Amino acid sequence: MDASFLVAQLLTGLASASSLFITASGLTLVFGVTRIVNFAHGSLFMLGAYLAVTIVPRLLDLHYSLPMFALGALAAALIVGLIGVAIELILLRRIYRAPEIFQLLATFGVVLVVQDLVIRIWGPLDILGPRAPGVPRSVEILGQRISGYDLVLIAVGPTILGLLWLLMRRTRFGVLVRAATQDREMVGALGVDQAKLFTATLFVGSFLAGLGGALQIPFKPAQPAMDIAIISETFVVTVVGGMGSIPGAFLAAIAIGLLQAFGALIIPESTLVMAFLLMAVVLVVRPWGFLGKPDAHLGARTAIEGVKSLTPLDATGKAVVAIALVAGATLPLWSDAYGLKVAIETLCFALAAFALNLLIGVGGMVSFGHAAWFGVGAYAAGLLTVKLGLHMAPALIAAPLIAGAVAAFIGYFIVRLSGIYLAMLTLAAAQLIYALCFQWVAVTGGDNGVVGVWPAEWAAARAVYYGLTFLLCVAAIWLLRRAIHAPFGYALRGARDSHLRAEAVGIDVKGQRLAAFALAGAATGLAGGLYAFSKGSIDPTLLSIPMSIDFLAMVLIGGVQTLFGPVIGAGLLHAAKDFIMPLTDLWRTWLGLTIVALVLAFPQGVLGGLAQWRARFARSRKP
Amino acid sequence: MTVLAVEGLSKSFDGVRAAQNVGFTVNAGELVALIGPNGAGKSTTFNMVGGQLKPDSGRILLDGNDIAGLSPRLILRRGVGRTFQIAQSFLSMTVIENVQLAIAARERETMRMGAPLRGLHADEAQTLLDKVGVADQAETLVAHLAYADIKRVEFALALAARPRMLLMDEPTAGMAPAERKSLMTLVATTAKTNGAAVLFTEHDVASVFAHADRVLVMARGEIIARGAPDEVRADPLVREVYLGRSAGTPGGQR
Ligand SMILES: Nc1ncnc2c1ncn2[C@@H]1O[C@H](COP(=O)(O)OP(=O)(O)O)[C@@H](O)[C@H]1O
Ligand SMILES: [Mg+2]
Repeated sequence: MDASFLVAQLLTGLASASSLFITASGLTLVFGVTRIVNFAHGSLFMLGAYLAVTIVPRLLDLHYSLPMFALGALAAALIVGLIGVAIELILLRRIYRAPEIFQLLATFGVVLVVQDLVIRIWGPLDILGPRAPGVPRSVEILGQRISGYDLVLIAVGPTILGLLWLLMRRTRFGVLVRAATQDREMVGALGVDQAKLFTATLFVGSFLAGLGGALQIPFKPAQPAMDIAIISETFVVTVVGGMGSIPGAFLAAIAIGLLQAFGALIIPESTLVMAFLLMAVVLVVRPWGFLGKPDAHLGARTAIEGVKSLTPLDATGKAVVAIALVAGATLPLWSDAYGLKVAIETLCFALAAFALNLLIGVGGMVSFGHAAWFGVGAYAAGLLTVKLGLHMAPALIAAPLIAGAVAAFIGYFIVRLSGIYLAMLTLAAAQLIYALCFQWVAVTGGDNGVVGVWPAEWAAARAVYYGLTFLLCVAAIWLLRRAIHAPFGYALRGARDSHLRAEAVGIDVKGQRLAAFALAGAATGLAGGLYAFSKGSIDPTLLSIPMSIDFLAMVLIGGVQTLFGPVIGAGLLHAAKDFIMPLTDLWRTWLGLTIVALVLAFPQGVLGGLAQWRARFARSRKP
Repeated sequence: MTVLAVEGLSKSFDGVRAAQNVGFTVNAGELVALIGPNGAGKSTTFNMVGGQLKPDSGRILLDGNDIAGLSPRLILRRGVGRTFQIAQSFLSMTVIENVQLAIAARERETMRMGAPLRGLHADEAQTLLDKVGVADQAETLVAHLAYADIKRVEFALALAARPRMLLMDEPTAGMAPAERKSLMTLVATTAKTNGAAVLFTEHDVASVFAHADRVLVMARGEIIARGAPDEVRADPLVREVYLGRSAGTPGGQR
């Protein structure tokens, strides 16, 4: 490895850093002002790329020149900026004061809608953009061939940084943005028209996302999955740099670009893992990132969102549970094989969602990577059976143990944080595990996963396997519920209600949260293991972001304030998926719109709404 | 007998000296008032003793052992119970559950995942609620209580630790005068009967001079006067920086 080769790697790293920074600066800007982590930022990036591959070639037909290319890219970014404005006007301004979980979910709803939209308009196939005219395909530097466009990118990143610096220092908009980023309350006190500031910020932020997407078309095709890929990387950059800090994002982008460029030399399959590892390390050493500042308003801002009070089941509740249990236990007698299959999956999801609400509803920890534990359980069970020839029973015992252990290990880092930082780290951790399963092909089968994960002979019949799943899931949910009603759950909830008071009465808040993580991880791992045997296979979608979102949606649909809400949510979502998905190719749009509608209109969920309605009914009947 | 002895305690925030070379002692069964205008550094001092803040320098001796810089949890285990200026209770729980949880935490039972909290330590919790006067609201959610009653729950939560040292940061802020008096009388009797040491801050001068055995006056991070209530009241310096401003509730913070 000689010096010139290293220089070449350095330049490649800087180019990707530049490109990453352009997109990430928009996200961090928007977060700084609005305190919303905009999941849809990746969608805006994707739209920028698609618009650019549409507009730029037409402009190049008119006149084949670099200025035309730049004009096309800017036009695409401009349109994306306007789309951002529309998103702000329609959605974001209604959720600025909502709890983080709702903000993240609502903006993810937009992600789902845009995914369908993009496929509708541009089709599912990759679209490669034109090369930039006049930029040499490669340049020789120190005897190494370097892509000419890389050099352009290396120049564009710092240029954008400079322009943003000017915007922040020399304009009234910039002054307000900086004021809002430092202290949101202060802007209100200044009497500024907040709404206008936020809309303008969304425009600039979205413009940058669009530009990031448009500028990468010469070397990366526009494709439907690029939104999730970029949003994970952008999250990492934003968090590592310090949320809200544009210079921080620049430094972080460089750190990650270089880490990936040189990391790929040592372990070629490690690029994704490295980025997330860096984020985990930074969050532990400097929880606010390179240049971020602790935010006193963060976390203190929202009212308690979650389980509000626990009462033993009343007569109605007991009757409903009894009926559900009888119906569940006798299902094989009156359902067909397909119904049993759906029921098995629903039970697995119900357990996972219930465990997630232990973290969110009871613990106040918005975990955005819950699929990780589901996936670890599934992979543990699957790999142990297929690769080590273990039987189903020991594999099903190992699944929760391994998932619980991994959750405890990662939880050790996570429980130090709170609020949005905690959510980001759970997401990063899940993506890290996803990346491991995706890139470590030799063991995990990579993208394809592993097949042949079948139950033991005695449980091979659907009805028997259903019975096993029913028994284990119901027992696990019952045990979790007991733990929530026990001092353990109260102490966890106490830590959520008041960290100060919890510590002052002798509750070890971190320890309590860590135990909750391990417990939820183990329960979800069991669900994942059961799911793997019912499907007969495992693959990385089990621990992907969309899977985590599904679990969150289940909790949201059922209601975070009730213990059994998520169980209902799991049933409703899975049933809806099962019935509606075959009927429409706009499934994601429906799910996305449903999530947005729920957040806006019905944040207490089905069971929460029902409880409220009952309470009102009971009060109105009192004399 | 000296329960708490603070020596040379200092703390700055970004160059602002919130507490400087603070030193005092509190004896068993004694009520010591820490008074001073807003921003004097009273809460900062409380938070260092309670472990919520780490001091920059100084010693905090509890029964002769230095507890400076320990976590709030460890400090609690050594017998320090406290209330907060802005009430900190478990809003999603009922009054009695708040106290039951505090007792369970004291008994190191928070990792128990079996039997429900509902039946646990109910008698002891009920006794505490009787004592602080919110027994009739035992089953009410704390979030639904009047602020004065939340302050009483705060007191119960502090007592649940069976503390030998009670830290009470503005225990009666936001209360009507009559309630104030009854709560302070309750604090005083509790201290005398349990032999607990009490350090409290209070904006209401009348209740300070009615209940305190000794008074410490703080201004701009420093203790500028100390002594028996009458001595302090007569101190010209104190009159100037604190009492002089208005006879009623100087720097009243609500
Ligand atoms: N967490 C903090 N960060 C920065 N400054 C603080 C913090 N807490 C207190 N201060 C400052 O320290 C000084 C003393 O505050 P405090 O102890 O709350 O006073 P008091 O309780 O006597 O009203 C004030 O100037 C206050 O602004
Ligand atoms: Mg104070």
